Formats: sequence, structure tokens, C-alpha cells
Amino acid sequence: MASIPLALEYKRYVLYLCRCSGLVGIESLYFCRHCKLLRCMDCVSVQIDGTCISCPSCNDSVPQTDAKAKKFRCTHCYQCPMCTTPLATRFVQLPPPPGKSESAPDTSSGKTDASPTKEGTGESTALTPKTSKRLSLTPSSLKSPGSTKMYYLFCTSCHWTTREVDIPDKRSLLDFKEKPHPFQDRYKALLSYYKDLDLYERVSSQNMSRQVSGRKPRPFSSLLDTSKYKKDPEVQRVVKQVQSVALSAKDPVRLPDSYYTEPVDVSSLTTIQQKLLDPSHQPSHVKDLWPHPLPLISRKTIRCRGCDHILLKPDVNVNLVRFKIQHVAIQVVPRIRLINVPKLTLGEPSLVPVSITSPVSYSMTISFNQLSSSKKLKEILCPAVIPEGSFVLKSLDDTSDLLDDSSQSVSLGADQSDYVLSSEPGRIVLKFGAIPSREDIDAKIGFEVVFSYEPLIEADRDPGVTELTVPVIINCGHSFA
Amino acid sequence: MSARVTRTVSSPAGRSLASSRVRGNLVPQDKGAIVLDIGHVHTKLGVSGEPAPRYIVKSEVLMKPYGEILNVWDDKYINREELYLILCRFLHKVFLEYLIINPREYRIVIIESIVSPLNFRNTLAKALFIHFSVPHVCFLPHPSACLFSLGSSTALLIDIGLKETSIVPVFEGVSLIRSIMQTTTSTSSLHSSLQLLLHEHCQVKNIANGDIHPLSDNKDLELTSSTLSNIIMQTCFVRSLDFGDATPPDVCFPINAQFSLIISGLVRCHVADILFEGCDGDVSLPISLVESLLLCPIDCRSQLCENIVVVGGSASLPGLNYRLLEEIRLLCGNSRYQCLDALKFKFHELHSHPNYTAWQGASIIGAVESAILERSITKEDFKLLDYHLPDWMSCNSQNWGSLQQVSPQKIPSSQPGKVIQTVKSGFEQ
Amino acid sequence: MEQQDIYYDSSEYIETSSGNKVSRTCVLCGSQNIVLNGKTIAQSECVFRGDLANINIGRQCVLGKKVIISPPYKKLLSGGAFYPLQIGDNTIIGDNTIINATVIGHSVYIGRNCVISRAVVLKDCCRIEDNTVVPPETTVPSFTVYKGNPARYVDDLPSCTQEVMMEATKSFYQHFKPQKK
Repeated sequence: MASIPLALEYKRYVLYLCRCSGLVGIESLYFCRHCKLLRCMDCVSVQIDGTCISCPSCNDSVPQTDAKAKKFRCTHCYQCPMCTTPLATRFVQLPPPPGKSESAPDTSSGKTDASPTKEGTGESTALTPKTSKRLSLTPSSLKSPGSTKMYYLFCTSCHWTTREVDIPDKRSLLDFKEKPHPFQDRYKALLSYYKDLDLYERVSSQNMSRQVSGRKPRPFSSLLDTSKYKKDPEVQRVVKQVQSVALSAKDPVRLPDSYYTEPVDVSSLTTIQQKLLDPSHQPSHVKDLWPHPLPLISRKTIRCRGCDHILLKPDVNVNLVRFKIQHVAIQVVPRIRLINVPKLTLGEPSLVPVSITSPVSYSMTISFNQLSSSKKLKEILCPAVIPEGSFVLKSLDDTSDLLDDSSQSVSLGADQSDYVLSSEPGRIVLKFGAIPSREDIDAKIGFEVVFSYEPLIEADRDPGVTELTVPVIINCGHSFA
Repeated sequence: MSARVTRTVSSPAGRSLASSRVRGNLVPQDKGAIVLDIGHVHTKLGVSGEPAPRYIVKSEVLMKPYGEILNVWDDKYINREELYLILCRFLHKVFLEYLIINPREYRIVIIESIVSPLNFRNTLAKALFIHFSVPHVCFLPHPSACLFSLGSSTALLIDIGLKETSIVPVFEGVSLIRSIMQTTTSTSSLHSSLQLLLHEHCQVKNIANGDIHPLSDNKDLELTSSTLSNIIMQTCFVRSLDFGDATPPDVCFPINAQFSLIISGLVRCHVADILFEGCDGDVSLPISLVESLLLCPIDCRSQLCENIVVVGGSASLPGLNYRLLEEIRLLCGNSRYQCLDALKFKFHELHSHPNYTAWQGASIIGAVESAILERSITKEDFKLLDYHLPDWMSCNSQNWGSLQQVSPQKIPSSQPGKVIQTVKSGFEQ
Repeated sequence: MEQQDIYYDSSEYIETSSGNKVSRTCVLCGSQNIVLNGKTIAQSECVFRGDLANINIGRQCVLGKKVIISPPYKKLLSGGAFYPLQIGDNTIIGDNTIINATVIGHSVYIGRNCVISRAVVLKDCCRIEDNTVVPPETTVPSFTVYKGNPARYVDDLPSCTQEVMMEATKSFYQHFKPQKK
């Protein structure tokens, strides 16, 4: 007996076929009211919502320009360089310093406990984002007069701390800045060199051939080749200048003997994954690790690719899960569900009970077609028995619970009622059939669901009933009798 | 007070200026380029004008709804239509989850290997232009990219990749195409050599009870490729020939909570020998290097030899360059290579980690806006080329220039759906 | 798949006036500090440590078997204290999971055998996969899936997660029926 709802398990029995022939669960389908089309994540256009960039840990919303300047990383949340968990903040309260020398923090961890300091869990970023922000930005605002708070970072998962790698405690969380790239100056020199060269090339080529219309791209080698400027003293000067910082071909160095004699402690070395967390330094020893600022996350605006109307627009407040605009399939498309995993018999029609639930407040007419599918789909599907005729799903209103069920049931023709197992407002259970043809794979049946759609808003251009079609594929499993 | 007043006055004007620029559909100047190097194992991604990539991530993507994890270079899909969908989802992750940018506002620089499969290039371009509607894509050949990061115009590049090592001589900015050498002796040969040696010489220690038994007895202990590369990077090094037969100490390498591997010193220093012996009948690194030199014009050789650059993930193995030099010197004693004996061989000291040297070069050149725009393919060009990229060598051919003058046409908006449609039908199973 | 009827032994469960169904095998310490806001199901052998601090659980939640819910302890400069624990509406918690969080939002799915450590914040509409350990003091943002030990981001949730969770918990409550005799 399952103790939690099975509907949320990852194994999906029912998948909807998007018009771009992607198979998706109904939750990831969007519905464009203007094109009257269902679209999956592969056939919508997704954009970053500039107002919804936030830190996953402290939940502070960061304006896009600020985020860009910080390379889309949080300014005061950090990530463990060992295990990528967000680091918690701890502080040590130092007594009012009689002389400044005492405030130099004790870097060997553990010793601070012996000195007359109090150690406490700083209001961790996870607990109260607002306070922690205040703490981190202006630590002076909270401290008691005279005493100083010194912060260090601590991983709650692998217990790595900034003290372990001899990073002194800081007065503010902002001080755990990333180390600059080791060859930054050289990089900048090269950058300005190539900019100059490009400009020079552009000017000289314009002088030479002003009359030639249209651009004619040069290969990249033209930027590398400086020999053609041999006669130009100005270019030569720039070239010499950059070569003095850039070129450094040497004889390779022989490995020191320690490689052959010293034992290696793997636990003091970083793994490749840990190295790559910090592309610019790639420390190979654990002692060189440095906390990384936490990458920000963003919510996305989703637009229809056909008409560019917005299908999903998140709320500005990153703490809310509301959406300003949300047009998802779950609001209009009937939900198809398997009642249970059916018992199948190879080569014979087996009963597959399927429930159809209407999400809408109007009564929905629904019918089924055989799937006109591509060759590849036909290979994986087995023949299906599909109910004929159309069924009406009455709207589910809140008072229906109080009324007698029988008065609400669907009126059906005599032959149609053969297909109906049970019906109630907004929900009907129908008999489908599968004729499994192969034992080695899951038996899957496919059919098209044709359902009526009435726009909720009258302002939509053509009011009235429209028929929409969505192909559905049901995996009936392979429990053969 | 006065400062506040001026700020409120100036801000609306500034905003309208910015918005008008965006509306004019120009690529704003300050945004820079997105630089991507999609490698077989890791993808280096970042923004131009920065000395290192922002992220180095696995070139893998989670494919829903079945939840399989696929490498973008997966052999199964490399020549099939499904690659389009894999690349679309991978690039979606790169642009919208890692970089948090809208790709259509940026120019894109892609570093491509000179031997990248045609279908991969075309599909990548299609994904960028059609699915993400980026305005400009610039395909930058890997050798040029490396040279930009060196600030030099001549180099003998050795790029040790996962499946292939390529040796490309570049003289005064021109890749000497006839002298390019390819060999399958590469990182994957390191992996297979390590696996073989481990099964022959290594023992597994059960952490719980201290039992030690040979690895070959333990069938269900699987060494993944990431474990293998960690073993190589953390414990192994390249032995120099003049050191003789000294054996370094054994290393205990924990694999999981249950077992750790005792890697013998012999394995540690002999794993990399495969690079100098050649694997699967293909030539070794030093031989392909000197062969490539023999193919170069005589007057280029001395300059190339003095500018040897080793890049790629495995280039960071300690002692690799020294051993390479030793092996080349040995080969020079051979009569075939005697003409190279007088040359001086010098190796460049990289100013980046060897796994993102090419990325760094591309990031430099990506920041030079006019240089990139001139050499980029626009969406309209791509349409006129009938969704096929020109070969990287023919970029400066005559018909390219005439292409620019044809008036650009808009790609019909129904296109993206169609492409995905044809692609996805291949995935149904 | 449609929710199946689940029949429980009517002698095992206590149903309160607001529709909560709590197994008699549950341990409720300090019951005056425990608030279940209605239609919540707590299955057998759950433990609620209301004696430490207040526990507030929203409407229509589903708690699996042997779930332990214990308010978090927080060390402060002046000693320490237990802080109240709040769980939002329509949240599902799998079997054998230990909850020591500060806040769990609404429409959250927590799998089986998870450890939600001290002072964790799970925002609304997130999902923790089975056998996951969320390390102390971390925050899991909305619309994400976390997995592993330590928990890492693996995937995104669709935008209509709230509706899906509401429906799932509602139908579970409707199908959680006493055994007919």
C-alpha cells in the first residue's frame, strides 16, 4: 500500500505528444490562447526575466545590471569548494581591542575558543535573509559598542571552513572576494594589443581599397600575421611591447625528485570536479581552495514561438510562486489517467481503464480518434481499442457534491454506454483496449483526444466553441498474465 | 539633496537612450560576446573580455521525459537528426541556466576543432540561428584561438583531446594544413592503459575489514571514466627517461565508502608511457610531432620548434613536456629525423590552464567587436547558404563576398517547429 | 496514474473535527504545541516533537510512515533555543523521513528516507528526491528538484506544480478511506 500519492512518481504512464513530436507530461505543456496550440518547452521561446534574478540561498532579488557586474554571482553568499553546498556564516565576537594587534585573527582553528571570545552561529543566511544581509553589509550596525565581529564561512555538509585553509576571518562577508586571475595583466595587455591591431588593419585596408563595396572578411590569420607590418615602426613598437610580456618559450623543467620519493596523500589533493569549480585557478591542493560566490538563478518568461504572446511571466517577488501570466495546458486539456496498471494478455485485447478529468468550468465534449502517426511511432505502439462517439463531461461546480449523483450522470446512447465504467461530473472512466504484440517491451497505446475549448475571456477574437486535438500515448506496462 | 534631484532628472533620459538602442535591433556595444568551447568531456563557457571561463561543465544534458543523460558528442547521435534536440537542450542550459543571458542579444564565438564533424557544425549553427535566433555566430578555429592567447603568430600546437591528438603547425598566423598530424594516442588511450595496468598490478582494500585482494578478482567494482581521470590527475605523472627504474611509493586511492585502490608506484609512473609508445597501432606523440615537422617547409622549422605549445586536458600532467623533449631528442638520433637534430626545442609556458587556453584566446578576440563581426556568419547568411556552413578554410573565398550583397530575407517563423518535429520523431522508442 | 483507494483500519486512526486523520501509533509530544490545520493525514508511527517548540502543519498534507518532525535547535550567543517549525499546505512527506527544518513551504514534495537537516528552508513548490540529505542551514529555492548527499540541484519543476500538488493531495485525502466492515 502506497503511503504517499503515486501520481508524483517519476515513472509516467501517460504522455502527451506535442505538435513538435516531443513526448511530455501534461505539466510541462503550455497553451497559447491566440494560436490555440499546445506547446512544449522545446517549441516555445524562453527568455531570462531581468526582474527575477535572485540568489538561491538568501533569496535576495538582484537587479540585472548589478548581477551582470558580479558575473551573476551573489555578493555575500558563498559555495563550498569541496562539495558545492552553500556555506553558512559564523562569527567570532572579539572584545574591544586595546591595541590593534589583537584583532589579527587566530587562524589556527580551535584556538579562538581558548581566547576570551564568544563564538556563536551568526544568523545564518538560510534562516533570516533580511538580518543576515544587514549583518553582512554593515556589520558595524549590529555589534555591541567596542567589540568587533569577525566572520568565517563553514560548510554544514562536509565541515570545510575558511579557517582550515588559512583564510583569516573577515570583518565583512564582502571581503571573501574571488582572487583575481593569476595572469590578468598579461591578458589585458593582449586584449589591447589585438584591439590596436584590428583598428590598424581596418584603417589601412580602408585607405587601400576605398572603392571596393561590400565587406570581404579576412581570415583570422590576418590578425595574427604581423610580418606584413614590418615596415611600419608604430605597429612594430606595439608588437615588441606585447611580446615582452607574452612570449615565454623555455626549455621544459625536469620534475623534481620528490615526485619519485614522496608519498602522495590523495585526500590532500582536489578532484577534477573540484578544480573545475574555479576555472581561473584550478587549485590542485586542498589547502589552496577558496570559497566561490554562489551562482544566481533566474526565472524565465516563456513566449509562444508562433505569435510571440507571453505564455508564462513570473511575479516580480521572487519569494512568491505566483505568476503574472500563466497559460498552461493543465487549465484546458482534459487530464487522462490510467486507473491501474492493467493485466495484459499477449495478442488479445486487454482492458485498459482510463479516467478523463475535465479541468474547465464549461461542459466539455470529448471524442477519440485513432492516431495517425509516423512510422517510428507505429513501431512502438500496439493496436488499441478506442471508444467511439463523443462523451460530454459536465462542468464540476462546487455544489455538485450535494446533489444526487444519478441525476448528474452523462446521457449516453445504448452502444456508447458499453464503454463507460463510471461517470460523475467532470470525470468519466472509459474502457480502452490494448492488444499487446511484443513481450519484450512495454505495451503502449496511442490515440487522439478531441475536446471542445471555449475561451474564458470574451475579448478573445472568435468566441465560441473550438475543437482541439492532442495525441496521447499511454504506457500500459508489461504485466502479462 | 541636489544630488538626488539631478539623478532623478537624468535617469529617464538614460533609460530612453538604452531602450532605443535595443529597439533599433543593434547589438549594443558593451555586451561582449559569449565564448563557447564544446569539448568532448567538458564545455568551457563564459563571456569575452574575461581571462577565464565562468564555468567548465560536463558536455552532458538530461533528456526528458525518459531521464537519460547524453553527451553532446555521443557517437550514437553524432550523425543523426536527434543531435539538433540534444544541442538545443544543452545550449538552453548553457545560456539560460549558467550564463543567465538572452542569447539573441549577444554575438557568439564558437571554438571549433579543425576536424569537427560536418553534421555537428551544421546542427550547432542551426540550433543557434533557428532555435535561439542569435544574430551572429563566429566559428573560430582552435589553432587560431590558442595563438591569440599566446600573443604569438607562430607555434607548433599539440592539442591532446579525449579521442584524438592533433598537431598543427601555425606559421605567421597561417595553419600549415599539409603538415597537420592526427593520432588517436590521446586521453582515452591513457584511460585504457590505466585500466589495464590497474587490473594487472593493483589491489583493492576493503576499508571495513582491511582485506586486500587483487582488483581482477573484484568484478563488480566498476571504474568510471571520471574515477580514472581523477586517478591520473591526482596520482600519476610522466616519468623522465633519465631517472632510470626508480619506483615511486604506492598510493591509496579511495573509490567509494567500501573500497580503496592501492595504486602501485609502477602504475603511477608508467601509465603515461602509452603516449610515447602509441596506442592501437597509431603513432605516438613524439613521432607525430617530428613527422609533422618533416612535412613543414624547411625555413619554418626552427621557428616552430622554438614555439611548441601543449594544450588540452591531459597537458597538465606533470613532467609531460620534459619527457616529450627527451623523446624527440632520442628520435633525432634516428637517420630519418637527423635533419632536425640541430634544432632547438622550446616549450611555451602557458598563462592559463591548458584546458582553457583556446577559450582564453577566443575571449580576447571576442572582445574585439569589429574583428568578430567581420568574420561572423549572420542569420541571413546562414539562410542563403541553405543551412550549411562553409568550410572553415573557405571562409575567405570569393563567393563569400558576393553573399553579403544579396538582400537578406526573413526566416519564416514556422521553421523552428518543423526542424524539431523532424528531429524528435527519431527519439520515440 | 489515478489515485487508488487506500483503506485503513478505522480503529487505528483518529479523525478530528477539521478532518485530520492521525494514526494512534503516532507519538505526539507536547500536543498543545502541535497544530494540524485540517485534512492532514499522519500515518503510522510518526513522531511530533511538540515539546521542544511549536509545530504548525498546513492543510491537506500527507505524512508517510515513521516521519519524524522535530523543531530545529539554534545556537545563539546567549545559549540556544528551539525554534518553531512550520509546514505549508499540500505538502507530501515520504516514509522514514526526518524533518528538522525551520520552514517548509506549500506544495513541497519530500521523498522517502530523506534527511531535512537543522534550520533548512524549503521554499514553496520544490521537490526533494528519495534518499536525499539536505545539509543544515541551506535553502532550496522554488521550482527546483534537489537530490543526493549532499543535496544538489538536478532539475526544474514545471510552473503548474502548485496545481498538481493540490490535486494530488486532495485526491489522496478522498481515497484514504476507513475499511468497510
